[in-house]
Amino acid sequence: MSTCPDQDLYSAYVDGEVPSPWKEKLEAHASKCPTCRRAVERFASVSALVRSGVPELSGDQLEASFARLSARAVPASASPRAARQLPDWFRASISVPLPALAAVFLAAVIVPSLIVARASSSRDAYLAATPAPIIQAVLADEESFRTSAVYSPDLPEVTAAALTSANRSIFRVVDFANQYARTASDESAEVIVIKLPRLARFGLDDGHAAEADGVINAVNWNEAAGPGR
Amino acid sequence: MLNNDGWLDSNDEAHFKAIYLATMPVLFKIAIRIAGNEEAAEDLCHDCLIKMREKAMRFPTANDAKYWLIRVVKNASLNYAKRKTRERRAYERALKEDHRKSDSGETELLKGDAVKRVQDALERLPENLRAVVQLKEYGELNYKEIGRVLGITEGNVKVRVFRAREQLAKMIGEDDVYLP
Repeated sequence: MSTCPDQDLYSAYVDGEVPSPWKEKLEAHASKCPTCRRAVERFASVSALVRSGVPELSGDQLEASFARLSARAVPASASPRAARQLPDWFRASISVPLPALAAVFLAAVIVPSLIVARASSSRDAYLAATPAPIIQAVLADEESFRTSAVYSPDLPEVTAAALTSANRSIFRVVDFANQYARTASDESAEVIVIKLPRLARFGLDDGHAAEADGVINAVNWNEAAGPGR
Repeated sequence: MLNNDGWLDSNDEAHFKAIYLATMPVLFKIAIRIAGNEEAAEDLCHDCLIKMREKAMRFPTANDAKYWLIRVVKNASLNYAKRKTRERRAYERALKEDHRKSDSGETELLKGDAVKRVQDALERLPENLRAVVQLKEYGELNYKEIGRVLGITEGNVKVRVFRAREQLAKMIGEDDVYLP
């Protein structure tokens, strides 16, 4: 009794889903074992019961149904919905008036190129329109910015010393603030308030976050700590 | 008849007819068993064939068309059956009709008591088991094809068919199983 194959094998057997060497073995066993024979019969009759009583379409019905379907289904090329589909639209030749084409060309090619040209020339224009001493200052500033090492709080002392001896100044946060601060600042600024753009909410204080839009303020310590302190 | 690449084009008249003849009997059986009424079943099948045409679907073989259509017809029929049940319940609630009365209307196409009991039992099966049995017995698909339609493995199909039959046999009653 315990050597009987699993019942689910007989279910698959009824469906003809057991491949050849095993199929014969199942049949041989079922012919000797009444329990297993009963299982096969049970699965087969459940299957037959489920199948029975299903109305089937005869050949005539099939043709009649196709006629009804054809009446409903206008071929794709003739139906209004298909006419709007991409392939037909794509293949159709389109006539575009010349002025419209010129306008598109103007908007798509000339205007962007003008903007790009203006952007690249803005620096030269700025230098040309600015008095000489200021230009010197700006250029010197740029130079120092380029040669300075970027400040890092964990910069090893040895590295910092090496950089200074190589004539490269350490670029500190204060320097950064002095260059880019929106409010006026002087060399003595000791406190720098950097308001980050509101990319994420860092705290629960919504009122504060609302006004922060990426402003750097260099504040003189004495002024900032004034009366409130 | 075939295109240069050998694919079946649903917008080609001859191909469409070929797909129809190859799939309609099976589609109809599935639809009628799920939707429960002949006219609705035919309409549902037609809808799906038209949808195939509108989408300008192309298939490498008629079997691929069959898998696609069976999946679409099955889902459309299930939606239809759900909607119908909902509507019937709503009417019953509104009109305070007797539930058994509306049931008897559906049974006229079911011949014989055992057959009706099997269908009732099938209704009570969980959805995942029922779908497998419907595709097996009405869709006339093998385990591999059922797995493809439902997105499960062949082994899983085998187990589900087995469990579904076990449960059906229990629901029908062991003695009645051997009747036909």
